[in-house]
Parts: sequence; C-alpha cells; structure tokens
Amino acid sequence: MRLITYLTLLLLGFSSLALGGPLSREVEELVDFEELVSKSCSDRTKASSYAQVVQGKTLHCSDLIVLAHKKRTDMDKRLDEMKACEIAMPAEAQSLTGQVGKILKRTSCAPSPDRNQCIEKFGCSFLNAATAGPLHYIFKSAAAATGNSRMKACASESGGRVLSCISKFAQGIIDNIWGTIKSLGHLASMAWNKAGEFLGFYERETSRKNHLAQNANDRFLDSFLSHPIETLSKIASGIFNSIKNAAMANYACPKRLPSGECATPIPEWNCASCAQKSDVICGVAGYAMGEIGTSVITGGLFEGAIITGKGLARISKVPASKIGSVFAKEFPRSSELVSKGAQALVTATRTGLTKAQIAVITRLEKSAKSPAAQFIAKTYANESRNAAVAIVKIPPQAVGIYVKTLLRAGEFGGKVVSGSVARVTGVTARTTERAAASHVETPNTTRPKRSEIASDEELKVASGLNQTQREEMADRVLGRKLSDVEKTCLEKAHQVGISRGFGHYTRTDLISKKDILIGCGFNRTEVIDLMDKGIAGSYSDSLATLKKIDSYLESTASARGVTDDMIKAEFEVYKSQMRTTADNSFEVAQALSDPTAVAASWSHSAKAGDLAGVLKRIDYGVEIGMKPELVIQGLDGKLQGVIRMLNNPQNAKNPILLMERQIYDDALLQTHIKYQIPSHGGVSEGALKFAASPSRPAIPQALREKPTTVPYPKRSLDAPPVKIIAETQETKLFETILPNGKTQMRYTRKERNLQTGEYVDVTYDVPRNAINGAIDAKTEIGRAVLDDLVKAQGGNGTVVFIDANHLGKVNYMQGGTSTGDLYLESVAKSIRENLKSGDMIFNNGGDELVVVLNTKNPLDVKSITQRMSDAVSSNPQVREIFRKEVAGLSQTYKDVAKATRVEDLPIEMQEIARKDFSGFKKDMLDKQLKLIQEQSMYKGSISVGASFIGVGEELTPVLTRAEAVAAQVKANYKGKYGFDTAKYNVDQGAIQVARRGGPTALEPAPAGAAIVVKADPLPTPALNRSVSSAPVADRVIAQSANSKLFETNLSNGRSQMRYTRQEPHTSSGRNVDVTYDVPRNAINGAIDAKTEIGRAVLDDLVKAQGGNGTVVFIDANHLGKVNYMQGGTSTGDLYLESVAKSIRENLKSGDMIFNNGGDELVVVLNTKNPLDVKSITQRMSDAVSSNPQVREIFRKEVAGLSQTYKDVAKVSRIEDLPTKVRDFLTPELRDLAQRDFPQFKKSFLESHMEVMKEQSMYKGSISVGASFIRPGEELKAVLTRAEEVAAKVKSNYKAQYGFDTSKYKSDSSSIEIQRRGAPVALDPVP
Amino acid sequence: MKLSFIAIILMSSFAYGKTESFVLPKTKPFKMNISEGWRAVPNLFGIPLAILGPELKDKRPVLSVYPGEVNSKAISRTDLESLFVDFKKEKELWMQDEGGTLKSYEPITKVSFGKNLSGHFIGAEYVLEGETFVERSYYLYCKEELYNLKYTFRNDQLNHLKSAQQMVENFQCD
Repeated sequence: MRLITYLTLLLLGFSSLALGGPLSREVEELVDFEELVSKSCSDRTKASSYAQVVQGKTLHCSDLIVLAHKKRTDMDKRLDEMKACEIAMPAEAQSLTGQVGKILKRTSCAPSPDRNQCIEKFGCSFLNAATAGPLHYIFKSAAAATGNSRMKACASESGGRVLSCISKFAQGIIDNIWGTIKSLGHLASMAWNKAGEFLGFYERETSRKNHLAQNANDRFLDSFLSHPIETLSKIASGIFNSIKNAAMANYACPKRLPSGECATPIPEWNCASCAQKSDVICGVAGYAMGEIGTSVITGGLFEGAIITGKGLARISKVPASKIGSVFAKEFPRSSELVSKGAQALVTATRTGLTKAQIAVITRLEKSAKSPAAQFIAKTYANESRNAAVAIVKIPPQAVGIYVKTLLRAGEFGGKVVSGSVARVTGVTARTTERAAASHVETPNTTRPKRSEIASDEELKVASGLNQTQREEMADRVLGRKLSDVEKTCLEKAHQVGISRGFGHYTRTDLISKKDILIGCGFNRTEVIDLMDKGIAGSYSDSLATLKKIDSYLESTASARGVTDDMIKAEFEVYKSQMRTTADNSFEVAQALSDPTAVAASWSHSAKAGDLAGVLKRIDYGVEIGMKPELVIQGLDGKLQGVIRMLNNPQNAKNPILLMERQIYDDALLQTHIKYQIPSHGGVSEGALKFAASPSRPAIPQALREKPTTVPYPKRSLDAPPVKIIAETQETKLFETILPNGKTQMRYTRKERNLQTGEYVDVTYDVPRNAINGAIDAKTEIGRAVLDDLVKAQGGNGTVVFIDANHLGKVNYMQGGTSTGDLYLESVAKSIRENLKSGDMIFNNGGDELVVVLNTKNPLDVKSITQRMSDAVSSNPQVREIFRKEVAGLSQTYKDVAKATRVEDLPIEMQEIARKDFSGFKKDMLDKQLKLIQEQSMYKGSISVGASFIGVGEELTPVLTRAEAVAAQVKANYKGKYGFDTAKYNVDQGAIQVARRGGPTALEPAPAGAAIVVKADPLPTPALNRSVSSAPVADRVIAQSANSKLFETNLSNGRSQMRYTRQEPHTSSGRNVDVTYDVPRNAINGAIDAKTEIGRAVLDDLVKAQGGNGTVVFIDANHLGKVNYMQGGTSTGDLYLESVAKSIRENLKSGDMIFNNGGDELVVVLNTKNPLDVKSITQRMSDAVSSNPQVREIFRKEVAGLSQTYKDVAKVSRIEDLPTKVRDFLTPELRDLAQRDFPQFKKSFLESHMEVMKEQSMYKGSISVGASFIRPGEELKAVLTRAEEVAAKVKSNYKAQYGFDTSKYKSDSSSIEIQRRGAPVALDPVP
Repeated sequence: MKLSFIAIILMSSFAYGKTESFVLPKTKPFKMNISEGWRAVPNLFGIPLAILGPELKDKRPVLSVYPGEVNSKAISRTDLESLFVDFKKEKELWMQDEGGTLKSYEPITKVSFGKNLSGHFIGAEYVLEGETFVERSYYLYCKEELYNLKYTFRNDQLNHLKSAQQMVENFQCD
C-alpha cells in the first residue's frame, strides 16, 4: 500500500513538490521509496508477478526503477551544484579532524563532547556527505548488509547533517572566491594611496603563500583525487590562523548579524559542539578547495592581486558596486570567475552571503560580455577543444600528442608545464566524476579496450534494429540468452530518449538507460557492452568525446593510473625530444584533417635548410597515422607553390626559395622511395621538373635507390667536412682537412646577421689549448662545442671532471709555470691514452679538464676514471716533476748543512746570511727540512668525478655533479695525507680514508632530470644559409714574411680576427698558407694565449713589435680569494671580466690584450715611450682599483662576514647561533660551544674578527709589470722580465698590508712600503 | 682554532643552474638561473612564479617571485625605505596574530647585484608552531620594473639558502 501511495505521488508530480521543499525531506522520501522498490523487485526473474496497477496503468519493476532514477537525478543536479560529493571519505575524515584540531589550539573553556564521539560524528557527516543522493541508498543497503552498527548509525543520521557539511563546504569555497573578488576591488580602489599599509599586508600575505607552497602538495589535484581529506588537511595546516579565523568566525558560527558577520563567534575549539566542529571541518575543506580552484581556474592572471587584496580587504571597506565595476573593467579574464560565481550563486543564497556579495557576483556575469573576456574564454575553449580533438583522433601509441598539445595550449596561455599537468589531471577528474555519477566507475572495473568499442558503422546498424533483432544482438554480444525481465528492461532502456534519436541522447537519458539495465540485473560490463554497441542506446554527441577519452584512458589502466603514467612518461618524452618535437607533434596533430596545413607546418624546417627536419616530420606524420599519400600531396603542393614563386622573375634567384625548392624536392623524392608511393613514375611531377632544371644538380642516383640521409646543403666553408662529429638542427661539429694536410675541427652554428637580422651559418675553428692540446672550453667557441656535445650526448654519455692536484705547488717549483705546463701536458696525455673514439677532451682552465665519454655504462665509466687516475699517478714524467723538486730541496739542505761559512752557502742566500750566519743556517735547515717533508707528501695525481648526462640536460648541472664527485675524491685523497679538506665543500663525514695508492675513483653521479625550459621565441626572419656577406677588404693588423694577422667580416656582420701563417704540407712538405680563427677567451674577451693559435699570434705580435713595442704583464690580485667568496668561481669570473674591462679602457688602437690563463693578462702596447708605458700601466692599476664592480665584490664579502659577527655577538647559547655558523662547526668547536658557550663565543668572535680584518685588507687590484720588446726578441724573454716587474709590484703592494711576500721571489729588501692606494706601477724594464 | 673558523666562513659552494626564461601575464619577460635541485612552478597557490627547492620530509624551501606586483611607478626606491620603517613592528604583529615569535629581523637594507639589479631587502627569523623559519624579501628594481622575490626556509632547509640567494642575485630582466 505504501508503495502504491508513493507511486501515486510520483506520478502526480511529487517531484515538483519535492524540488521546492527541503532537500533533507527529499532524501528521506527517496530512501524510503527505494527501500520499497528494492524489496518489491528483489526477485527480478519474475517481473510480471510484481506488476502494480496505479491509476489504471500497469507498472513493472523496471518502471519503478526509472521513476526512482528520475527522483535521484533531480537531487543529483542540486548536489552537483554544490560540488561536494567527491571530497569526503570517512576513513580520512579523522585525519583532517586531527589537523584542524591542531590548528585550532585548545585553551580553557567549557568542555566539549568527547573527541572520539565527535570523530565518529564527523565520520558520519562525511560519509553522509559523500554518499548524499543516490549513493546514500547504496550506503544504507551496505550498512544493513554488513550489520556494522556504526555504519547503521551513520546511515540513519538525519539528512540535516549532510546538508550542513555540504553547505559549509560550499561556503568555504565561496568565501575564498569572495576574498579574491574583494581583493581585486581593493587593489584597484586603493590606488596605492596607502602604500605603506599595503606593503605590510603584502608582506604578510606573500609570507603566508610561501608557507603554503612549502608543503609539497602542489600535485594537489592528483593527490586530492587519491586522498582528498589527507591532501586538504596538509594544505590547511599551512594556512595558519587565517584558516582558524575563517573557521571559527564563519563556518561554526551559530548566529550571524544581518551584515553577514558572526554575532557570537566560538571563542575556542574546545567550546565547539560536535556539529560546529564538523561544520568547521567542512568549511575548512571548502576554503582549501577554493584556494585550489582559484589557483587552477584563474590561470595566474591575478593571483598576485588576490594575495595582496585579501590583506587589503581587511583594512578598509569598499562599496560592492565599485568592486564590481573595477573588476569588470580591469580584469578581462573575469569570465573564469563568472562561471564559477554563477555556479556558486545558487548555493550562495543558502549560505548566508550578503546581498552586496551576491550583487558583485551578478556583476561578474555581465563583465563576461566584454570583448576581452569573450576573447579569453574563446581562446581557452579552443585550446580545450584542440586537446580533445587530438586525443580522439590519434591512435593510442601516439598519446604523447595529447599531453604535448596540452603543454602547448598551456604555453599559449602563459603557463608552462605544471599548469598543463593540472589541466590534464582536471580532465581526468571530470571524467572520474562523470563516471562516478553514472555508477559505472569502480577502481577495479576493467573497461573495454578502444578496439572493442563499436565502430561508427556498427552503431549505425544497431540504431536500426527492431526489438527482436535488438534482443538477438544482445544475446550475441553478451554470449548468453536474455531473461524475460532483461528483455523488457532492454526495450525500456532503448526507449529512453528515443524521441531525440540516435546520437542525440542527453546525459540524463544515458544515465537512465544505465540505471534501468543495472536495476534489471545486468552486470556493469554487460551494461557497457549494450550501451557501447548501440543496442540500448548510444552516445550523445557531446558525450562521445568524453566517452572516448574515458575509454582511451581506461584502456591502459584505471583512470588515475593512466593519468599519472601519461604525465610521467610523456614528460620524459617531452624533455628528451625537446621543444622541437613537441612543436612537430602539435602541428601534425592539428593538421591531421588538412594535408596542406601539414606542408605549411614544415615550412620552417625548409626555410632553415634542414632536410633532415622535414623528413623527420614526415616520418612522424606517417607514424601517427597520416596516409603517406597525404604526405606526398602536402609536400607536392608546397613544392609547386615554391616553383610558382620562382617562376616570377622577381623571385627567380631568391636563394631561400631555391633552397626550399631543393629541400622539398629531395624530401618528396625520399618520401616516395621510403613509403613506396608510385606516382609519376616514382617521383612527383614537381620533383621531376625540378630535377631537370639546369639550376639544380641532378638527383643523385643513390637517392633514387634507397632512402638515405641527405647531407646538409653546402655551406660556404673553406673546406668540406670529412667527418661529422656531432650534429644538431642548429649546429654541427666536424673535422675538415686544412691546406697543410692536417685535420682541423670546426664548428658551425646559426647566428643573426647584425645588419639584415637574418640567420646565417657561421663556421669557426675549434680552438685547442696550447699546453695540453684539448679543445679549449675557456674560449667562446670551445665552450659552445662542449655545451652542444653534452646536449647531443643527453641520455647516452657521461661527463668526467678532472682536477690536476697540486698544480699550485708545481707552479712554485723550480721552473715555475713552465713546470706547471709540463705537468698539465703530462696529465692530459695520460688521460687521452684512456679515451676511445667518440670521447672528447676539453681544457676547462687552470688545473681542470673535462672529458665527454661516449658511454653511460657505469662499470665502464668507473673503470675509465680509475684508469685515468692510475695512469697519471704512474706517469714517469709526472713522477719526475715531483721527485726533482724534492731532490732540489734536498740538495739545498745538504749544501746549507755542509756550509761552514757564508761563502759556502748558495749565492742567493749569502747576503741575508751575512748578519748572523749560525742563526741563519739553523733557521734555513729547519725551514728546508719542513719543506722537504711537506713536498715529499705531494705527488702528481688527479681527482676525477663523473656524472651521466641526463636526457635534455645542459652542461652546467651535469658538470656540477661531476665536479662534486671529484671534490669528494680529492677530499678522500687529501684526507688520507692529513691535508685540510674543509675547502672542498664535501661531506666531511663521508671522507674515506684510504691507506695507500692514488685517488680512488667513485661511482659516477646519476643523470639529472632535465629542466624544461621555455625557449626564447624563434626569430622570425628566414634563415639564409647560402648568402655570403658582401666582400669587405680584410684589415691587416700585423704582418710578417710568413704570417698575417687580420680582421675579416663574417656573414653575421661581425668581425673575426684571423691569422694566416705558412705551414709545411704533411705529405709534400711544401709551404702553404693556412688560416685560422683567433680564439677569444669566453670570460674576458681577450685573445686566448693559452690556445695554440692565440699563443702563436702573441708570439708573432711580439716579434713584429721588436724594438717598437712593450709587453705588459698583468696579474689580477686575490683571484684565489675571490673564487672562494659567495658565488664561487662565478664571482671569480666576474672579477676577471671587470679587470679586463678596466684594462681595455686604457688601451689605444694598435694595442692588443691577451688572456694568459688563470689570473694573468698580457698586453702588447704599440709604444716604447717609458713615460707613456708607466702612465698607461698606472692608469690600468688605478682603473681596476676604482672599478665599482670590483669594489662591490670585495665589499659584499666583508659585509657578509660582518653580519655573521653581529649575529654571533648577540646570542648566548648554541641553539641561537646563525645556522650558517652552527651547522658548520667542527666536532671540537661544537663540543666547546656546548660545554662553555661564553668561551666558545669569545674565541669565535676573536677569530672571526681576525678573518674580517684579513678580508677587509683585500681589495680588487692588479699587479702590472712592463718590459720593452727588444729587436728580434721572442716572447718568453720579454714576458719573463715583465712578470718579474709585476711580481715586485705585487710584493710592494702586499707588504704594505703585511701579507706574506716570500713566494713572489722578489728581493724582499727592495720592497717599497706604501701606505695606501692601488699597487704602484714601476718603470718598464728596458 | 683560528683556521677552523676561517674555513667555516670562507667555505663556499659552487652553485650551478640553468637559465630559464619566464613570460608571465602582464609582466615583462625575465630570466632566472634556477639552481640544481630547484624547479620553477608558475601560478602555485597564488604565487605567480614559485621556485621550489628540494623536498625534505614533505616540505621544501620556497623562493617566490612577484613580478610587477608592487607598482614601481607608484613606489620609488626612497619610498621603499620609508615604507618599511615599521617593518619590525609589522612583523611582530603578524607573529602575534599567527601565534609565533619573532627571533630576529633584518631592517630595510640596500643591495646591488650589478648594473641592472638593485633595491632593498628585509628579512626575519621567526618561530611558528615550534618550527624556525628564515625569510628574506627583496624588492629589486630591474630596468625600472620592481620585482619582489621572497624566500622562506625552515631550519632544516638552510643548506639550500645559498642557492636561493644566488638565484636572487642572478635575476635578469629582459
């Protein structure tokens, strides 16, 4: 009877009554009704026996289910508006409870209910919220089935709690959005009048945001879907008291004033009832959700404003109308908020928003009509559509395009990768939500694979079936006979929405069909089969796309899993193939339905003269499903277009078009061959015409026979490449043969012509280091080559960093830097002996070498690095250098020991010993003994570290890792001998104390993850490879009988210094002219005299200036100190760059500056006037000392030390020490600080003061020495003299500050003590 | 003993990174040298550009970049100095609101990181919920645009402080 009553009510339009009534009542009614239906229709095999006649109409179970479904759908709609269902899971609710409880700290107040009781209630509340609507029926059934008393209790809780949670949740979201709106209005209205006040709040809010971002939850959507409450609670814990305030004043407010403010806010957490606590939790979740939503949806346009404005909103009130108008005017993307606001509007009326608030939201709707808002909305709609189109059109193996398309779409909107990830995840979220709403989604459901979904053809057939045929087809598809009830249900399901017709069902229709089928006992797989095959209905147009996305995603794994995997995998693909490939994918995917667009998308490659690029794109197109015929069509169309343009006399000789024509033609030909497309006898008409053209060389036979890689178009090089070493789209490293028969490595890259703006290929010689023969990475070109090689080896190679130990000591051995050079040469030789073909060695300045190995096998790499290390340690030449030094010291010791009078001493000691022979002898013997002991500890060795090159990775990070490993190796090695290892900045605890042998190689560091860089936009001008610059007369700088130094103009419009000299041919011995580029140092731009050619130029220049010029030797003081300052070697580089700049400013035409390695520069002056020379060198010295950049480097360091001093001075216990001090205390100091802090502090401050005093003594300066070049004199002699003068200047200068000057080997008695100012230049040596 | 102290102070790591270009809405493009182990995430929790450091125990240091947020035309360099005179008080009030304590603060201080990058910074060390935080907020003018860069570190993240500082110092605007 009850059932009949309900049915009657339903048929009479109860639903309309219910819609107007409270939702809780609807829920109760529905639950009761469904319970009755469930009981009445429990035996579905006997449908007829349960027929009920209501108002003359016979209703069966399937009818009842449809009626129940309609009711549920109505409620679904309303619940959807509140966006609440998916967030809460009972098991996780407790976690949030704890978190919020922690935030809302307990203080004294009236005791609230027991926490466990509350938690249980929260669980119920969340469970009810989660299962509100149709799911609640299932939940109740489950509760009854399991007999779980708690579940039963929860299930029977009134709907009021459910609604409370939902509404508080929604209110949280709206509060957040409202804060955004208010903030924007405030921001605009205040117009910075209260700037100070603003900055205060601004600081607060940016701090708050930083705290929020400190939580590693930015993958929140992903995390949120998996663990909603846990995710929200983590976020909530980072929002501090703003959450607390919001929660206490808003969500748990028992009574509100008309203004919307809380009349009686709950003072403390403990005072709140369970219901209030539950409300707080729901509100907090909503607020956090709003934070997420705002961030994701608004796309970053006015996030900053949100932050600032939220703070401002607290300090002044602005009329809502003003906010609205400002917002509408200033923020065109308000359309994003409009939709959000509109959705929220329905809920707003229920959640106590003020009229003013609602008015603003309403205004936002209007602002969506502004042209700007419409444009943005349209743009985003297009991007979303592109993504959808891409995913449904591509085969599964090309899924990458989908993500890449989104990435591209994200970039278009000013976002980068992460934003797109959120969008990808967002798609999944929507899909999941939809699936959940239609009762087909369970984590373990195996969905049909895409291939199993009916084709359009099958669906058409299905749509034309009569009922009998429908049942037969259902039998076939399901592989069993349908029962009578099932047949009836199938028919009823088919009838739902039939008036709209095939392909036009609404979402509600489809859900109804599914519900009917499920209600009749079909299992979910069967329902899917029946639906997908069109037997009981099919997709609506709008749902088809989503459905296919679902199928696609779910065919790989569960929806969430797929998304994770996709993102991870595709990111890797994206990174490894870099931006170019992503562009290809995007363009090809877009052009799938338009072959001419495909050709257009290749135009860039063609203009770049890159046949390989065009071919790659073609292959990609075919790979993702384009028909080769379409590819040919596109190509041929493009070629014909180019030919038409060339037929215009004005364009006939256009080099770009000619090049394009050749490339398209070659691409066409190769595509024909590769994909075996017969057309016009194997080659397209256009290609044949072009091949016959006299302006183009005949197509090589080899190309006709088999596909192959066509070499780059010919470049204007001196000599053709004989071996390609590495090649990218933009660069090429190759070897060529010089006129003298030797090989020369060259490097071609694209550069912009200064005059035309066009991009041209420019080829340079790759400079080699004069000492060790390695490519000199300290030169601009050498560094570019190393950069490129690392890029090319990404994922396949290894970078090895090599530090030649003790070079500083060697440079102070007998023979000075010549011995150092010999040492470096020997080290490089040992290393080179352990390299294989494909490995390359680079000089990295000072004592560093870098090797790029063509392997990523860890065992190979470790073996190679250990072999290098062993080879250096056992190199006879290296051993001899160190042995000889000890022998020399030993000899001196013996000489002094046996001396009985001053005259017996070595001559350089006699003058000093004359005052007190015995005292001198004793001191000298002690000193020598110490020196011998110390020196004998040293031996030639290297510290080697390796790191694999990650895919897409650039040089710097991989080199840093390799260097860190080398530093650890060095620390291990030095630790063994008791050297100080602190400066190596390695884990001191990890230093392995080895007992014997040379340094032990460590495992290579793993490859780093490449960073996806938003590349600078590609320049628009077409690339022009074949155009050479107009001939410009070379400007001769210096010339001798056998050599010429001159400047020439490159095709990029810049000048390049070149050097031609006569060299004998390797075979004939005949002298030939060979021209080289003169390499420049990458840091200071000076000619690099450490390279072979740079050194030769310096040699020649000195010869040419014999009798007329002067050599100036410049030593940048304190470079070692600077390299250990904040910023490390980067600061050192900056110092050197600034020094070189100051020096260059004091040069005249005809003077030339050379980099001489390390901290040395050499200038050849075009004068021999002593007054001029002294004046110039003093000006150089003064200019460096007063260079603001140089001064800042040293000032900054002292300032840092000073701050540390102050910080330490004010603390009284170890815990309060600045972290940079506390964390770097040695165990002894830490012990002292813990035992006796005052003593520690005293010692520290004293020592620190010393350090500060010492540091403040340093300032940027140079020591300059000059010497005239005598006629016929060679470089070495004159440079030595100039260097000696510089050493004296340095001694003078350093002695002035009390530095140790002994190592400068100048006559200490002649040191002139100066009281202030820069180093004083001395007269040039004649 | 003295040597140990010297070593402590002079110890310096070599920070390398990768230069990334950023084009954010309504701002001029700029570049940052993102230190190894850090990653740039635009539009995170309302931060136009968040540079996130290595994660430790689910937390990570943050360097946030707010380009053009503070109007450089409205606030001059000298304004900045005067506007932050009450910085300490403001920070204390904030701490009071948040239930934390201010340990120390850095008053508004002039900085210059090269020809095109100079401005001011303020900083603070505070304790919140038992955790010590260090933060510094830079207001830097780069080619007449004002950029706000702020980093926040927990105590156990300070080994990455230098990387953040270097990123600030190497900020480049186009």
